[in-house]
Amino acid sequence: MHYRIVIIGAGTGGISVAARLLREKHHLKDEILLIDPATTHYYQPLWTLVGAGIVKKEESARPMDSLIPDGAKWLQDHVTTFDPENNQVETSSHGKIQYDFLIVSPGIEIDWGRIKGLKESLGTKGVCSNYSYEHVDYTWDTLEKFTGGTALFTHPATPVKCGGAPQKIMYLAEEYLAKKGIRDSSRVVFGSANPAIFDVAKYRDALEIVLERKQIETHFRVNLTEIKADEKIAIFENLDSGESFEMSYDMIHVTPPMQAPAFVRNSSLADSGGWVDVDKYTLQHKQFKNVFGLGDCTNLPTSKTGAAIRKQAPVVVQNVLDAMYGHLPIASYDGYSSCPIVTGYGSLILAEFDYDKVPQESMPFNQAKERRSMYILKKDFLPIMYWNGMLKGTM
Amino acid sequence: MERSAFEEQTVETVLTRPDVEQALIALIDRLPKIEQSLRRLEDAVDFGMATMKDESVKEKVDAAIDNSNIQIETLEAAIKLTEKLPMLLQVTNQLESMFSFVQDVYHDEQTKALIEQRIEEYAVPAKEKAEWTREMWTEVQQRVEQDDRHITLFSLMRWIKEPSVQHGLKYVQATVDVLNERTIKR
Repeated sequence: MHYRIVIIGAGTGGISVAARLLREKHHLKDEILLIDPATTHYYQPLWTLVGAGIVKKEESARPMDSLIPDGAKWLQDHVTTFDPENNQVETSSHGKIQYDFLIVSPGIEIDWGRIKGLKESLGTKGVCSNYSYEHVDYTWDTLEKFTGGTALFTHPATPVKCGGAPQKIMYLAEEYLAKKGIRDSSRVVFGSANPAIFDVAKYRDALEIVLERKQIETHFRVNLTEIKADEKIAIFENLDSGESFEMSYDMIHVTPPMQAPAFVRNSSLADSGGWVDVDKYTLQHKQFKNVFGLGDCTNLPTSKTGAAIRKQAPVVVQNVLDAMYGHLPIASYDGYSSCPIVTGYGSLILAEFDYDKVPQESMPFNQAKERRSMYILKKDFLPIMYWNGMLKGTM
Repeated sequence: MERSAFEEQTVETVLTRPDVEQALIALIDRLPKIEQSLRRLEDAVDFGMATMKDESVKEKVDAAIDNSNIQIETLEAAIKLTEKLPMLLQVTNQLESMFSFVQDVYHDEQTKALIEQRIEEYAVPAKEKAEWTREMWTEVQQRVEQDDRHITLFSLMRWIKEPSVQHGLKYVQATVDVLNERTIKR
C-alpha cells in the first residue's frame, strides 16, 4: 500500500490537517490515509464541565467515521513501528504502508500505572479523574455525595494535555461546595508539581487572586506517587527535598502522568524525552524532511492544547505542500496556545500566549478578568467551532 | 593607462574558454527547436498583422468597443482591481471558510440538536420569569377591579409597615442622603 500522505492519528491534529489539505488541493483526494484504531472521537475540553455536572458526557463523543473528511481514507489499525529511512510505517493488521510524506499526530498517552494504587481505585472510594471518558461522570457523582472534609486536586510532574484542566475542576468543585452550604466544613487543597499556579505572569496574578478568594490551600513542587484508597491517604513526593509525605482526603481528583505513545517513544522519530522531534517553527522533523508532527505527541515547548493544534495545523499543511512541490517550508508557528480557565459556574479567564509566555489575546478586552461571556464561549460556542469548523479545516 | 583584462580578450581566447565552448555546443544542439519556435513566432506576428489590416475585423472591434461601456476609467479600474487581487483573494478565502462552516452547521443534526438544547437552557428561566410577572399583574389587576374600598390615611400607615415598602423607602432615603451630601460638597 502506498499513499502520498499518511497521517498517524485521527484526533484533533490528524483530522484538521487532512481536511485542510483536501480543501487546499483537491487532487489529493484518495491520496491521504489516516491511521487510528479508535472508533470514537472525543472533544475532551468538555470533560471539565461533565465532571462539574454542567453537560452530559455523551455530548463530547462522535463516531470516528462521521468525522473523516471526504476524500481521505481511514485505516482502523495500530501503528507498531516507524521506518522513516524507507518511508514506511508498519501496522498491526495491515502490514507495511509506504508514503511520500508522513504527518505524526497520535496524541498523548495516559500512564495510569505510574501512580501506585490509582488504576485499581479509579472510579471508586472517592478517587476521580476527568481524564477518562469512562470515569468522568464519577467526578460529578463524588461531588454530589460529598458531605465535607478534604477535597484534594493534583497536577503531575509530566507534561499534560490542557495544563489548566487540573485546576478548573477544583474551582468548580469549590463553588459547588459553597452552593451546597458545606464550604465551611471543607478544605480544598491543590497539590501540584509545578512551581506556581500558571506559567504566564499576567494570568498567574489573576489566578492567585482567585485562589485567595476561594481560600484554596496550595502545595507546589509536590508530586502524587501513591494512593491508599481504603485509608483515603495520598502520598506525595516533595520534588525539591525528595522527601515523601502523606495527606488524608475525603475525595481526590487525580490528573494522571502522561507521556508520548509507546510506538512514538521507541521510534527513531523521538527525541531523548520520547516526543516527536520537530523544528519548533516549521514543525518539520529535525532529521527526516518528509516527516512533520503536530499536537500533544511533539516536543514543542508550549502548552499541549486543542487551541495550539488549531494554529499548528495550517503551518503543517503549508509546509507539507511546499515540500511536495520542491520549495523550502517557510510557514512558521509562534507557539500560540490557549487555555480557557473556568473559575466557576459562569466565569472564565481566557489565557492565550506564545512560546515566550507573552499574552496573545484575541479579544479587545483584558482576558485575565473573569468573565461570563468567555464562559459561554467555552460551554456553548467552542464545541460547535470544533466539530463544524476545526475538524472541517475552516477554523 | 593600463588596458583592462576584458580589452585584452580576443575572439579566439573567448571561444577556447571551456564554459563558452560548452554553451555553444548546447546552443547548436538546440538550434532546430529554436528555429521552430522562431517560425511559430513569425507566423503569430503575420497573423496579428493580417488581422489588424483586415477592415472587417477592425470594424467589428470598433463596433464592440462603441457598444460597450468600456472607457478609459474601466481600464483604470481593472488595473486597480488587479492590484487588489491578493487582498481580495484573502477575503474570499475567509468568506468561503465562513460559508462552509455555516453550511456544515446547517447540515449537522447533532450540532443543530445541541444549539436547540442550549437555546432552551437560556430561554426557559427567562420564560418562567416572564410568566411569573404576567400572572402577578393579572392577579393585581383582578384585585383592583374587585376592590371597592376607599384608601384612607390608616391604610397608608399600614402600608408603611410592609417590608417591601420599607425596603423601597430605604432606597429613597439613601438616594436623598447621597444627593444632599454631594450637593454640600460642591
